[in-house]
Amino acid sequence: MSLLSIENLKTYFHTYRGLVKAVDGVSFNVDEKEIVGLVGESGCGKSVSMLSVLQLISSPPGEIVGGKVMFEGQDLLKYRSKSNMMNSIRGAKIAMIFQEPMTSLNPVLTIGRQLTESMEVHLKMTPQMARERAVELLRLVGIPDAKRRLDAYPHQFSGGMRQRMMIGIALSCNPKILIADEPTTAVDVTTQAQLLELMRDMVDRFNTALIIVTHNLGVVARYAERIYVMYSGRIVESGLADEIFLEPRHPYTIGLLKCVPQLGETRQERRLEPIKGLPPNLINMPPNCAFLPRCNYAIDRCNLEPWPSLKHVGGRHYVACFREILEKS
Amino acid sequence: MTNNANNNPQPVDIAKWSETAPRYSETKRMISVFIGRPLPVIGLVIIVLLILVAIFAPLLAPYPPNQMDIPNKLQQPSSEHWLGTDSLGRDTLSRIIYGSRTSLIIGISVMAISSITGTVLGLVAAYFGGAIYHIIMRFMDALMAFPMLLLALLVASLLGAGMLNIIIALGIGMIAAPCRLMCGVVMSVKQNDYVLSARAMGMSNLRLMFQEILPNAFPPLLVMITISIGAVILAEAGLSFLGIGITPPTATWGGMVNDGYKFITTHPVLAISPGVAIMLIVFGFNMLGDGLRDALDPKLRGVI
Amino acid sequence: MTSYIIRRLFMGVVVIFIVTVIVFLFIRLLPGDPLTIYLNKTDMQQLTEEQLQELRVKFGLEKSLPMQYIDWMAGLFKGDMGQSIYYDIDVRILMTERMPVTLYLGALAFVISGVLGIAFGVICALKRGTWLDTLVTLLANIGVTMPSFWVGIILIYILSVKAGWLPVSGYISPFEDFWESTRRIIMPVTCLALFPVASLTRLTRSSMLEVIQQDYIRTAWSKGLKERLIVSRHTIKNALIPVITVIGVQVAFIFGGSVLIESVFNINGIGRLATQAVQNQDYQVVQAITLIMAIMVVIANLIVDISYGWLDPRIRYE
Repeated sequence: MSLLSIENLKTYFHTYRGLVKAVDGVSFNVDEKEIVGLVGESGCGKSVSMLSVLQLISSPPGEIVGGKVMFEGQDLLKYRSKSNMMNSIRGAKIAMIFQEPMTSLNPVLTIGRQLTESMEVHLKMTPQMARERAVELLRLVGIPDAKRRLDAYPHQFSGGMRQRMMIGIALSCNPKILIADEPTTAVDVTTQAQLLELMRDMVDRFNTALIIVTHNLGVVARYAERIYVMYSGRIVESGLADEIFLEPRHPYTIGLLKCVPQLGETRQERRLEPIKGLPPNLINMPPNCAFLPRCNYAIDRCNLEPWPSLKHVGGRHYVACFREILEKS
Repeated sequence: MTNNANNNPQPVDIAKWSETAPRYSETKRMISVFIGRPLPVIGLVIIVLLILVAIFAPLLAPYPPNQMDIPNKLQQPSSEHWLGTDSLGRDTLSRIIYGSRTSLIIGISVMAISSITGTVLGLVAAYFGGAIYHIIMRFMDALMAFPMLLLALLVASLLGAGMLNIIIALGIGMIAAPCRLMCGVVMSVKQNDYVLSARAMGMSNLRLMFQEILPNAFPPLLVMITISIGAVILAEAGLSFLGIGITPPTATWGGMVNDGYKFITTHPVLAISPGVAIMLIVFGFNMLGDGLRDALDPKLRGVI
Repeated sequence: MTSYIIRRLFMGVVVIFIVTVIVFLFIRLLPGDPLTIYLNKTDMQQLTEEQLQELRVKFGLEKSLPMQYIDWMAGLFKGDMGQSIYYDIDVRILMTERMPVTLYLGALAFVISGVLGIAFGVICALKRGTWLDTLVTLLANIGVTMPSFWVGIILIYILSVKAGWLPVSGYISPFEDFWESTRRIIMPVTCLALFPVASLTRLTRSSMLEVIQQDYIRTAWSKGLKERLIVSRHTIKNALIPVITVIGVQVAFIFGGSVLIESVFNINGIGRLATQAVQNQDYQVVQAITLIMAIMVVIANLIVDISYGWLDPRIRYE
């Protein structure tokens, strides 16, 4: 049995322009200590689906309209967002790191305060104990002079350092799952690599499962064991990393792989092929496959029938497409 | 997303998508936010009605505002005098109708003076920066320190009462807010990457800045002016109440409250009714301003 | 932090300097002979040109404007605010007599408006969309539109004239008779606090709603903290930052309001004195009151700026 399994999750936003089906029937599971990647363009609903797991969607305008989030035998969606149950899960069992290190730490509270508070709440530590553990955590995430830094404020740190602190905060209570929502998008490339290595070492040390949400296939290729590709609110393809990279089946996945540059590859060897067009507007979507207008492989059936569901195509590989695409990209 | 249709090997019913992804114009979005809630619309209606009342006062008022009728003084409300008459026999309703002129003229002309002066000062401060910036801004700090009513009293004590002096006094008192606002907008525009790059390309940065400043400054300025008109009308009412504002017999709502105060035990309507008029007009401008802010402020986009 | 405080203090001194210049120039630059400040018009017409010149020298008016300003400032430092023409006494005596009343009422109104305005705003934001929020927000929206003097008159009509619960007007020092004094200041303080309470409620509410949407609040939720802790530790302190900045404006507003309210309730503070002085052409008194009120507002702003550093570490370490 999986550690966390999401079944047919639907999160909609009620905006003045109409209903936005940001997440529309996503199913997803994570095993213990597994590293899973969730890939997709910005706006495809990957962050929203992860925020829905912890019920961190601001409502209104957002609303989780259906599905199940099974964790340790309980459906978390049965509990209200502000319930004690959800509070005892968030931070303690499932922790999260966000995209924007500059804005996700409270500017008026010290680092120490922000590091220790979840330990005081979940692990019932005294302020003294929590402080000692905070120093240790800061050291673990690679922040020098940790003891003195506890009394500093977030604005005194760079983006990369803040993201390290976020990792420390997230892992402070030894969670079962760490969700990293585009953790490296807002920092520069060298810091990116350091952060990712740090995250992998940390989940290894703490025996934590990791979900990396990203639009960067390179990140996923290096770290994730299993991958979900998301487009326009749905999972279009999933499988082991090898299955996805070596045998992509969904036209969208194929397109994504074609536009990733490889080091050491010259322009003559392979041209990058961007996916043409833009991701669709999520308002009042037709029932058809959302990738259809951008698809190079569309067939008549795509126009006539609603979006296909995921089909098993071997191994742990699933794909949602009417065409059996056999040729390699 | 639709312009690649020709490259597609397979025909796809693109029309379906262009239908389903409607493009919303900015104006349409603003209007929908503005009329989405009742209060801004109510504010707009109140102001439009009051402006009409002010323009057509002679047609609407049952009596001339200053027509005294001593035998019929201090009448209680009746079918002839809906809101009764004051101590000189003047019809209260007619005076309230004419009083809208005073309030609107003062509110609008004060904000015209102060926002033009303030905007220019703010532009100068931000454009030149350095010592000029500090001098202008500290001057604004000092202006903000004066309670507006006191500033007006000081002017009135030296120049005497009267509409023009009140407008000057309140106009000076209201300069600081538009000045600071404009200064802030220009400073942030100055730091934008595209302004810097255009300057590097040798474009006239003055022209460029003005192109950028106007759309950035206009929405907050409009909101500020709308809400400030309410504040100015309240201040003018206070001055007229003290008998230092507009000179009698011109009908002012503040002055009418003061006149009515003497007869509060027997004729409460005399003091209460002009106050309601003040509340109504200030409420109108405040709600209109709030509505404009929500419609024009991009920060609130998508929150509805 | 120390350099921040020093810089603020320096700026405060500069602003007070400009305030004095403005007040000084108001009288000197406006049309008319400055002698009118010291004499009334009939006296002036009876004097010969030589006598007038003598008087000019006596009052230092033959000097250049900057020199006159220095003289005036030197006088101020010695506590010389001039002579009241109408009351024929030292302005300083008038001020020390009347000032405590205004300060007492103003301070009460200030504290009440701060406490209630912030509390209402926080409650509304937390109960957003409920009937309570709708009601309080509506009342706040109405509160900022009501002229304070008019509210005073209506309170007098309802609570004094009709119900007979409270005395119509007048003021008694709390040291003389605490209960009677309190009964008499209920209505004036309510009127003074009305606008600040309403506007602080509106401001706090919108500031809270903005903070609630910030990423760091989502982070706090993601840690599994209880709502109460998120509000008290993470939200309020951030939400108060923009609220604190308008406190100086509130002080100025309460002073302005005291001019009106003291007239409505016949309270002999400096607000009513200012009105009377304008009616009596008593420039020196108007000038002194304006100057003192403005300087107090600057000082209030200075205190706000410094406490701001305590609220917002980004400024402290600037």
